[in-house]
Amino acid sequence: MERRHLPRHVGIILLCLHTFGPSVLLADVPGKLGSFLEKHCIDCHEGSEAEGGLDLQSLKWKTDDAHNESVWVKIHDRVESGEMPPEDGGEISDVERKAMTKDLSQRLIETREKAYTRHGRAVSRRVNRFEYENILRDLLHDPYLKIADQLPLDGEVHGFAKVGTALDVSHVQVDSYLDAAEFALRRALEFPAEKPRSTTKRYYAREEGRMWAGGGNGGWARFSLALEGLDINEEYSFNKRGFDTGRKAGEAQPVGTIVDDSAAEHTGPWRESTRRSNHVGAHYLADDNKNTGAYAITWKATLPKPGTYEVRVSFGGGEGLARTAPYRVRHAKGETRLTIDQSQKPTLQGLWYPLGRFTFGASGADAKNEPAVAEVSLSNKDAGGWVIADAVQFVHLDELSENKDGNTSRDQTMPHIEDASTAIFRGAYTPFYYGFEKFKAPVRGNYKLRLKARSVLRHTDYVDWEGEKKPRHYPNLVLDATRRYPTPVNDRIFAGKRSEPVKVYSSTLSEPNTQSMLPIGMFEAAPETPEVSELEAFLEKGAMVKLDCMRLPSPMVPAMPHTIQPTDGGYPGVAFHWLEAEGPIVKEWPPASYRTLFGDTPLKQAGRHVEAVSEQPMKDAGKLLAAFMERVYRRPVAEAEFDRFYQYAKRLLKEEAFTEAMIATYSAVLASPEFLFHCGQPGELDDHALAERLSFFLGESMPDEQLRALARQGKLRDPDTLRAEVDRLLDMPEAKRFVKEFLNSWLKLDEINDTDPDRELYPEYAGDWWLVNSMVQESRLYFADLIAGDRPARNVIDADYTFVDERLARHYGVPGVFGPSFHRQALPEGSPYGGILTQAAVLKVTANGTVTSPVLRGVYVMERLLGDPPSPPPPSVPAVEPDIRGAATIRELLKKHRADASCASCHNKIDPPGFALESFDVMGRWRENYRSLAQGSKRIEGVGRSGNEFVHYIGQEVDASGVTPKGEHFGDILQFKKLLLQDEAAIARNLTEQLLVYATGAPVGFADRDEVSAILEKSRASEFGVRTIIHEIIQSPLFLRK
Amino acid sequence: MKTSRRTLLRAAGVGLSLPVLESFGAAPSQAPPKRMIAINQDLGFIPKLFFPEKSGRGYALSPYLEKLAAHREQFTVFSGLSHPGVDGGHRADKTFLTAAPHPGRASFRNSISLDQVMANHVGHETRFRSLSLGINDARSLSYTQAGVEIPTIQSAAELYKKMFLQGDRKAMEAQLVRLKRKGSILDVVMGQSSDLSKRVSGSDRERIDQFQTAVRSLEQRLSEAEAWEARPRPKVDEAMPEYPEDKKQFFEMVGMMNDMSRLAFQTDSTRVITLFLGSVRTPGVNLSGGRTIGGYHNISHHGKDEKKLKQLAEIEVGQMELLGDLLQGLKDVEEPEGTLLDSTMVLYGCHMGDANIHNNKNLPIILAGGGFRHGQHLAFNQHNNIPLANLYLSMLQNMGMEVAAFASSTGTLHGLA
Repeated sequence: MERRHLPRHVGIILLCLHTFGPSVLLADVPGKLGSFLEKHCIDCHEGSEAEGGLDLQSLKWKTDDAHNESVWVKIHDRVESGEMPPEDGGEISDVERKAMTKDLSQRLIETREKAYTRHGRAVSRRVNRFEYENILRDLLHDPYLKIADQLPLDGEVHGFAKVGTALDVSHVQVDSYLDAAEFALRRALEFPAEKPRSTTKRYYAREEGRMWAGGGNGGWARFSLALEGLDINEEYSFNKRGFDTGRKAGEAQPVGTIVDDSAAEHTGPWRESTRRSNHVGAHYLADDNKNTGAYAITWKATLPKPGTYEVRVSFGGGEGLARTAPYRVRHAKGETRLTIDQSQKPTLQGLWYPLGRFTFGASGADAKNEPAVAEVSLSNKDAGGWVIADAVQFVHLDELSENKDGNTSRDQTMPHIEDASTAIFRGAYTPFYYGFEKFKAPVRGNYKLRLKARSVLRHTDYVDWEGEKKPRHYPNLVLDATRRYPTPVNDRIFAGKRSEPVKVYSSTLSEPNTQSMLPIGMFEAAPETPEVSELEAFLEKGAMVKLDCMRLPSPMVPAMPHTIQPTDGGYPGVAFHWLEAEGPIVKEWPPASYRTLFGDTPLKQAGRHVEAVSEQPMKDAGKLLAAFMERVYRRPVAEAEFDRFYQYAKRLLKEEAFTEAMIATYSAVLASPEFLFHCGQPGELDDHALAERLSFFLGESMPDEQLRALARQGKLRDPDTLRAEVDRLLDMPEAKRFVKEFLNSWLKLDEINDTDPDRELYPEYAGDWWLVNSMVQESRLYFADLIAGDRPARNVIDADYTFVDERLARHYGVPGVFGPSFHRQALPEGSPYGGILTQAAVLKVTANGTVTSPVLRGVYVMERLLGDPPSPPPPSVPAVEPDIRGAATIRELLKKHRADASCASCHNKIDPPGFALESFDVMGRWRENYRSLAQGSKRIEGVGRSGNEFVHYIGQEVDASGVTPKGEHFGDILQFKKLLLQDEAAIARNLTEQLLVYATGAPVGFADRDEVSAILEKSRASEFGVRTIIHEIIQSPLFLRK
Repeated sequence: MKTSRRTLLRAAGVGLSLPVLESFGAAPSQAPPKRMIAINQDLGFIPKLFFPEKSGRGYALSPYLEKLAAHREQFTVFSGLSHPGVDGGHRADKTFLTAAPHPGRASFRNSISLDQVMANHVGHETRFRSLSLGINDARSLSYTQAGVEIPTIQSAAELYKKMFLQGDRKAMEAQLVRLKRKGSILDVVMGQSSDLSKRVSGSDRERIDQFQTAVRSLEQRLSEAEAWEARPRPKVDEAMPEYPEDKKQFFEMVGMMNDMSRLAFQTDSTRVITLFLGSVRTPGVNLSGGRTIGGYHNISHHGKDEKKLKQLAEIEVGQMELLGDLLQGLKDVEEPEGTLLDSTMVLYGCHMGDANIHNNKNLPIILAGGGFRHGQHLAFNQHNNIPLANLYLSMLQNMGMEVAAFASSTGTLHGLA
């Protein structure tokens, strides 16, 4: 057996001077073991002040308990390695040492093997909440179904929610399984019975209220500007806030002839309302959106002279209003019928919508001065939504062309809608989330989204009115403490100097938490001319399209935009023109989710859902249920099992509608233990159990059809077939789920958002969640690549490449990377990055946002990356209290702590990795000095990424040197990595063990060590390639037996 | 009423003991039932501002306890209490009411929480066996016998709806159908797990047995829910709270949850409540006057920085004032013998002694009300803490339960009567 632990350490050991005769001791420790411990160990390891927290007096022999076993294993390992008893603790002969470890080892293995024969290495387990979600997603072809959040948290062992002993079940789970299953099943019926038509519609940024930051505040206004080409439309930008001028519309002077609803003739119980502010007169009229044809209104006007008039109507506009409101215009040439979509925004002054131009009054010279009669009417017949009747306006063509009253000039503000854009100068972060909200996906499905945008650069001059009679002008403002309130003036827009990365998200909420949105794609806004980018995305019903621009700052209230430092000689921004949405793109109808549940059974609409309509319910139920159970059971369905549920379905069918009965029966299957539990029998796994274990490992869900087929044919256990299947599964998109969940647990990446960097100490990260997301992405891509390329396990510690996008490259100080996409990137010579050990995500989850702790990072590295978890601190020792006042570094504080001998023995191991990582701040960026809040060599004052003002000090220099337990010195992380790389097998062993727990659902015990060594031996030729390790794990008896 | 309820229960097919409902005509002279609310504010308090210097009855209030001065005789403050073997810093929140050791350890398994022990005893008497509430954080203080977390209600408005909003007849019937449906599904599931249990052995069988216990326990809860569904919900004068969505409106949320908890007791909708105040995940706290203190979690890692300490203290004073409001609210409700506070144990504290170093010793703990003789600072050894479960045992007995131990208890708490 390979030596697992770092050999003999030379830490401070207290002399064991006293030899108290043990009074009550080790009574139940079997055989010679007791006398060995009494003779060599008890002196130091006794009582509450025992060395290393090991009190042999209270230690029981109860190795079927996991924790107790781990203590005995530790004793075994320390004695075997010669670390214990220490040199000054008395001599023991090699023979004695070997006899003891052999005896102990046999006893430990014996206990384990008894358990293995009884129920296998792994205790039968239920699926965890992510697996449950994935199964339903796969089953129902619903890749974005959200269920996991509705289920209670799962118990974990070694951080993995995969181990049977911790995956307890209570009434809470059972209840939530029932709810979750019903929710998912009903969702699968949430679609219109008729195949939806694909439509293509364009939404202009200028018409989106969400694109305008703040209101009325001149500073805020500069976060978004209305552009015509590269010209700023001052009026929209600083006064009108886009086209949404409803509130001001009523104040506009009317032109032409206006007939309000109060002067019109109407029939039906119209309701008077003032809820929409953009109306004419005291109120407008609204129907009941029900009794189609029961409402009508006619506006009659006597126009001052005959001629051609533009007829305009007002109806407010907005969600839910009539999409096909029938208007009728009576004019000189007869009658014209028009169907108008009242849900759109009125295009003129936010109030009027032109119906068209019509001629009124008698023609001919003698009729010139005769008044002309005009008539417009509207009814609510088949209007498709609430009908609103407000006013009608008739504007003579002369008035329009002469443009003399200034009112119609507003109509001219959007002559070239293609040129009009809204330029955004900030990233999306509370309270400003921008995007296209007028578009709401009509049904769940796939859509093509096209966005027209370009990058721009804004120059702004500043004047400072403070304390000056005459305003001072600052063409190139550099912010400092003495000048905090300059006023921005004289904005100019230029073409961007580079493209701006933009991420696209979807959300059904109007003000979502940025981290809760679903990323659906990204593109780059080109600098020279506006370009159209297309992406295809899945959208929930009602989902809107949200945006975020990577390089733009995200100021918080009440920060002012001018407090943000310019880059590239100006303030970069992105000018959005429009979004075009095409969809839904329907490939099959009814959707696959329906067919999974109801096959070819015909369907009909029932409210928001469809219903299956069966002519022979009993027969259809049997057929559908059999197919369903075949799909969700991971083993052949026994006749009795089918019958159990079929009888239930039949009972329900006597009282219930077909669809309801089937939903209840399916829910029962999805809450049954045969479905929820992995249930292999002790010993070799059969083909079905093997397929199950395999697919829950590499795909986080139930086996797919091919795995099932191989299991049915009894071929899966063939090593070559198994190997081929593993390769196939690792190349499937589902393997991404494995990478994500495994890293979330192994590296604790699911804790990435648990803390935020302190804004005084780390102002440059404020609100930069793009960076945080990129960190996690790097780790996932990196690990996926380790598997794909069968790269050596030592890459956990170090590599000369990594994966970065532009933001992360900047974080790592790697030049020349642009854009939002990730690339494999060679790292410059001497870069401390490369290897999971120094990835930003790892460095962030091991810090708390304010300070880094060598202890926390050290424990993490030992436990997660090196496989040598240190014991928890003895309860009597007070923890080191962080101090960010700058007087003492954490290292100095620790030094005091380490002077205590009982601390030193563990800290000799824990601290070195922690010290080496001190060169990285709380977000994983390289630092030479600490920062402090109270004192230091230099005071730094300024404005952070999000306009956050800050003051901190440059604190003491970082000292990242240390001494390993073996006594090797290192000066920094680079040297430390080199030391770790001396033992590649240890790195590989840890990764293997972590993967084994994850794959088999059982901790790697003492009795498994030989098998682990065998896996490593077989992987050695590939330099411990990660893909090879996965293959060898799966070919190992540890995986093939329960 | 009596007969119909019995019939209903028989129809539900479950032999649950009959609840003592107010309409059953509990004799007016009878003492009011005991209640308990346990609150954990998960960032705790700056120790030197929380703990009084002197112990005993004549102790001088600490700066924080000053905020509870009006209730001095109705509460006891403890020092030197903690859960033996509980470590793991933040992670110890899940053991605040369970005392299960080593939440940070790989093999950690949780056990039943104090409130659930009480709920198993008195829960059947009320519409809700217990209520588990949380603010700004999904985590819960309540754990089942199997150590599974009980999800929390996250909004005071939702809680109000559950307790007081009487659905129309149609909604009520739909709910009954739903509950019955769930019950019938469980029958099928139960049949299967019994068969399965016969086929497996050893630890596997334990797992399946645990599943069966879970199913049975859900069946019982569903029948109780069915029985209650048929009964009208209590009417209250209070309107449904407008629960804020902005997490920074933390204090407003706490106030509303406290009010709802009081109403829950007042209407005897439940007798056991836990409330998790998720300070860690509260991004910042809006104070009166439109001020906001940002980054609650970050400033708890104050690193002894004066400015941060000052901000933290300001928030923590706010927390204490909210506790004071809760106590006042309970006091303002009169009961046959005294006030609602006299029959309600209010446990308030944190699983960390000092958030700056994440330790789990010397926990800040207050117990108010419940008919104990309060008005003192019970100080125990700072270096050799007394198990907090001793206090829990005293509370269980105060609840009228004849129990001799709870989790790591070594007896009831000395000095508390």
